[in-house]
Amino acid sequence: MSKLVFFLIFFIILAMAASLHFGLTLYNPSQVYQALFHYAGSNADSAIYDYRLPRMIIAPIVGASLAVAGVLVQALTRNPLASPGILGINTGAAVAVAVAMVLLGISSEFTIAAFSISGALIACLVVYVIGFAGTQGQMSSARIILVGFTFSALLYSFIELIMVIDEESVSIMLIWLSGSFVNKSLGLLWVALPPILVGMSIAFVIPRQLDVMVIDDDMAKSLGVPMKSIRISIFIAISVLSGGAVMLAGPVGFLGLIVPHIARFFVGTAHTVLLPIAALFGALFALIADIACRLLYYPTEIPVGILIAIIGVPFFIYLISRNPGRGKSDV
Amino acid sequence: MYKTWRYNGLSMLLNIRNLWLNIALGLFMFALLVFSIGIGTKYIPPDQVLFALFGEGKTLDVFVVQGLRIPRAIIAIVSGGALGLAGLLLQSVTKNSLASPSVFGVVEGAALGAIIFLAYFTDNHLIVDVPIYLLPIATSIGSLLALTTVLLLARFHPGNMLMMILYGIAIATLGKALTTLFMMSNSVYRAVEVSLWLTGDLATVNVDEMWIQLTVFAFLFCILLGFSRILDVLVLNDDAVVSMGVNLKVAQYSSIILAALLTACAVSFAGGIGFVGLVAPHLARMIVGQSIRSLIFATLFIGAAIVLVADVFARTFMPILFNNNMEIPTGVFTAVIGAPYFFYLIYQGSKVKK
Repeated sequence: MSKLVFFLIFFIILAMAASLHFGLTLYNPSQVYQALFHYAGSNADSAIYDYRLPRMIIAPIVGASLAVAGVLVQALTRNPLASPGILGINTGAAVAVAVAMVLLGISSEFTIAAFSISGALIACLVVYVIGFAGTQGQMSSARIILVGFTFSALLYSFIELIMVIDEESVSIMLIWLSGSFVNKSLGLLWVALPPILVGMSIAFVIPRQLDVMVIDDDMAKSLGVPMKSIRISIFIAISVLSGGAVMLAGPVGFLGLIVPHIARFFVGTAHTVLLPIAALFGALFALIADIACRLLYYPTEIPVGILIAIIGVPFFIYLISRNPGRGKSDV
Repeated sequence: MYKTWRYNGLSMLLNIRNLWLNIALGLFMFALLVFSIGIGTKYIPPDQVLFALFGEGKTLDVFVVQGLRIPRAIIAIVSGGALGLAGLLLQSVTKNSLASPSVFGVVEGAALGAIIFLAYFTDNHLIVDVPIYLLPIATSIGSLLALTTVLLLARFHPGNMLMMILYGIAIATLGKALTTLFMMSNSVYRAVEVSLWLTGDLATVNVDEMWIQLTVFAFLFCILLGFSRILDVLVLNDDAVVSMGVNLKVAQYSSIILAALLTACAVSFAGGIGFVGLVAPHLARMIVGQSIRSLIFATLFIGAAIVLVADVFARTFMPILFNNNMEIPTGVFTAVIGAPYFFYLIYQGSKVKK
């Protein structure tokens, strides 16, 4: 475990360093050093300091928060196929941000963050109510996928509506919607980081309750877990984590689905260990994906959200195929 | 209730009640068509519309009706009908009332085919430099490829049609990601148009497109009618189907392929209008029951009516409410109605189980 943490942190630092070096132009370590500590305003300096440094900081934060949100969603629904992206929670936050920025013309970052988080919260509650309506506390995989897909389709049509109303916003919105770390100002962090930290701390306070909760309601109740308040805090944590991440990078799907599985593969299902490891894996994953999306289609850059989706779908298919019993005819 | 209809050597069993219901639905759709042609920035009363259809009346009316509104209304009708029928086919084959073209990845596959086609054959002046009638071929290839992938994956779970839907959604997601990738890697102007078109948009259709779509649809519809006898049997359980002498595999695969082609026929011209393929067969079943031949016509009329009405809303919503000339994508309206209905179906499904 401590070895794994050490390796992960080591690789994260390595990836952060690589994130400053690789890209459209390859810079050598001395140029990077100069840009960071003796900023002189040359092209290289500005590319590294103004363009790559914010990405290097934002990518791991988004990755970690979506990964933790993924673990929480999977615990809440008791299903390994759920994630903030698949259930449409990210899309909910995206709709709220689009409404705030395009329709209401709000530019204050603080207000946008509030919109993003409340959008995620509303989407989370709606999908929870629809998902569990008429069932007994466990969402089947089929139900999660069908409800999430339909809910996302509905939300996407709202986004499309907003783009029609303000045609000038379309090209910006399209890039933002596909999820990317490009051209983000570090100023956003001041409003996005506090809620993300709140979400993380909520998650890290209740790992044992999560362990019991995933078994079933009665078991959890008899072991003295206050289900109602735990659920409410999970809702809040998911919303602030995914709302904060969406505000920073747009709705990056599949990260919250893949990373919890990677983490579980290494450390098992106990949330005390799973949550921090998932956060670290999420950070590393986002950093690597961010570097890969600069190099894969060189010289054009592809949005990181698209890249993760293309990797994510085969994994998603694998998860579906592993779950045949639950998929059978029970929606 | 049933009557036998004979003509020389031919005979056919007719369900009189359903026949009348279908005629009523058809007339209803025609009335909607006339009204929807009249509604718009320039209002034309229904009687004038009928005159203008035959080239009579004021010249301006004739131009507006024949040149602008007819193609749009016909494409709305054909696309709605095609999507509805595709949904009917998929629901019959999978024996699952939640199936529809969009959860099989078929719509996204068709859209991806169209994007790649448009991206490669459009010059710098944003003009498509190959004949537009090749577009349905591109969308058909896209939707068939998506469907083939889904079918291949579903082979690992023989007899479990729900898994097919789940794989379909996964493939739909992949198709969406790839579509965005293609949109981003080409010019931004086109991205704007394309993204509207993906939600279902009828604003840019013209007379040529109308004729191409009508021809393709008429062809597919004839095949579907010839196929209806087998479809009637397919809703039974698999053993019963086989014992009636139907080759189950062939029947299933060919109806799925037919569904893909119908979807492509709609998506090529109207974009990805969602949820019609889900809702139309359900409404049709409520009205005419389970008999497939009556269902085919009822679904056609209802699907057409849904898209027609949605398109009228799309054209008039913003002008009436906010007094500007904006058009909302047609797909937004079908999604707002269709998604809650889907949730209701899922809820019903879980209640029945208990």
